[in-house]
Amino acid sequence: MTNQALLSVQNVVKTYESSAGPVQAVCGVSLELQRGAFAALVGPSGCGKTTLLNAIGGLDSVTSGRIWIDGTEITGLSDRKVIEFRLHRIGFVFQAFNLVPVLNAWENVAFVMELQGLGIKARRDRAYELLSAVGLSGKEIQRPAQLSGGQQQRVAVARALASRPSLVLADEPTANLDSKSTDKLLDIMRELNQKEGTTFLFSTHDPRVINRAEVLFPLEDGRLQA
Amino acid sequence: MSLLLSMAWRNIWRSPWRSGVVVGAMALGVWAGIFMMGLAQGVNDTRTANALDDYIGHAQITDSSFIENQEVQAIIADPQAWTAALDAHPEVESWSERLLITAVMQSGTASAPVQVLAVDPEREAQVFKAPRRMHEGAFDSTGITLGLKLAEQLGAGLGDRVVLTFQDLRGEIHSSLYQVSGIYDGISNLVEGIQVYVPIAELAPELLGTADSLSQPMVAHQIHFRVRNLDSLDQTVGELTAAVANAGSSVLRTWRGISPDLRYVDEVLAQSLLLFMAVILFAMAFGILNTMLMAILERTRELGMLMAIGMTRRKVFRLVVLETLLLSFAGLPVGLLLGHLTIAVTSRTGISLTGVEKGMAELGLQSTIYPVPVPEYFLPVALLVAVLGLLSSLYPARKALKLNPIESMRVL
Repeated sequence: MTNQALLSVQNVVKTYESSAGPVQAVCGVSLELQRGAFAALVGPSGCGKTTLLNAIGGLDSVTSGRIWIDGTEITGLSDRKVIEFRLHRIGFVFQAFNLVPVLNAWENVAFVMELQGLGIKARRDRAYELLSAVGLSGKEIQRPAQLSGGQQQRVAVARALASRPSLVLADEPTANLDSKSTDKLLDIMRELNQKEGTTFLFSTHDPRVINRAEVLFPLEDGRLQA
Repeated sequence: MSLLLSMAWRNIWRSPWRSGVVVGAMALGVWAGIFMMGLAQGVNDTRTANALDDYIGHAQITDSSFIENQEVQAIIADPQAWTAALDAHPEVESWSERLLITAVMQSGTASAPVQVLAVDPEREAQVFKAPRRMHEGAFDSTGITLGLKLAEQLGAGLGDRVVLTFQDLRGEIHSSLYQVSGIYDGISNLVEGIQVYVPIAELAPELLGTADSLSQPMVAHQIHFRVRNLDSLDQTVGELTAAVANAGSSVLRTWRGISPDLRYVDEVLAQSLLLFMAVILFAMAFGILNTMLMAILERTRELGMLMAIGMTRRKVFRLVVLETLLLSFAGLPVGLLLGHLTIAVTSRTGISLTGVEKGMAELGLQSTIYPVPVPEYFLPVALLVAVLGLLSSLYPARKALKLNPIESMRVL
């Protein structure tokens, strides 16, 4: 792992057991990502992007190999420590928005901070600030069902940034958005990347995201292409 | 309010109909339980009050040996000391002395064992209600007063003559002729069938011998009394005991000591009512458990996402427990309030059970039941709801605990 690298993936293998026998979804991938990067794992469906992203986020275990984030080897952490690590150091943006429907926009953003144990005022101020940053001022008390898909995904981005993470992992974040919403979302994420220095790693096959990414990690059949 | 608590509350109402049914069922169950508790308590209180009014009284002074064997010789050593103390105590409403013997009563057609209460009719009517509920004739010093049931059993009517045969103080069998001057209609058939009243002024000379009777201004096996406020009975009894310096072998007992069965019924009833409520709530708990399992199943994806963004398994567990408890408790205040209001109304109007009047009389009860408010059960009921809510949350919470974030988020 180099000194500046925020993320270091070393020879990661992920094998699933299926009825047809073992399936290797990720085959010995190694990569490094610098702090402040705006990067993407790219490739067709089934190439192992999401599997690798889940392994980086500590949501899934690896069969072999090691992953470091910000100097911590997450592949060696216990289940409880991984959850704690995720809470403080990693933000997630999912393809299907995955907001809590019973919470309004600012509560969805503040929820992660509640889990971190922040006080109500700090949570509220930060949530409103982030919602403003993603262009949702005035929508703070609206519930997800009252927001468009693009707006929901922007709330999800604000939520991912709420805990001031080192790394934001976004799994196909534009898959359910139209072009206009995609552009707006990418503009916002890029701005936050530059303004707050947050590192973004996408998994995508959307050319609009690929065009905006600074660093690309092409994957095919679970292997990183040169 | 914590966001977790707020989230738990809002989660309940994601499926308003489903939760509404559970909350409604809980409210209905608690209402029914509380009302039944009030009704049962009302029946018991009425039964106790009737027993006290009819034949036990609030408290009683008697010789300790009379309690053991009811021998006719066991009269109170110094009854005047007690009656003076009773007259002087402001809490004592009335008192009545009694001679009490067992006898055989013969009418023209039949005979029956009876318990003869030789009383001063005027005083007796101030302490007990039975002699006041006259079916025929009068409760006075002119003759014997029988219960309606006994009168029917013996075929004796007003003005008929009956013979009482009993053992006097000297151990000799003594028979006396009385004319039926009154027939009372007591609440309890048990009392009506066995207790007869004769004037103490007539029976005392026969029981003790004329000379003894004249030498003593008062003779009694028992002195019963009524207090103005039953809640302060123990204090009154303590003060009376202290006031009579030379009580000898006389003892003063409250109704709880005279009739421990009534006290035990109180205690058993309290436990039975809570058990009854526990059974109702236990059935409710299955409905809550089922609802929560469905909720967890529907929200698998969301719970997986919450774990993915950093919610610990412990907090997921806590969220499910919190939701279950809130769901359990949502119907509780409504049920308690409805139960209390129903009791408040029916405690004034009463609930008439005229169809089973005879059966009720056998139990010493009137046919109209007056439920009594039971606020003392609200806290135990709330605790029961909490315990059962907690228990019914464990299985759904454990299900949620075992979710895997990745697999859960794949669920559509």
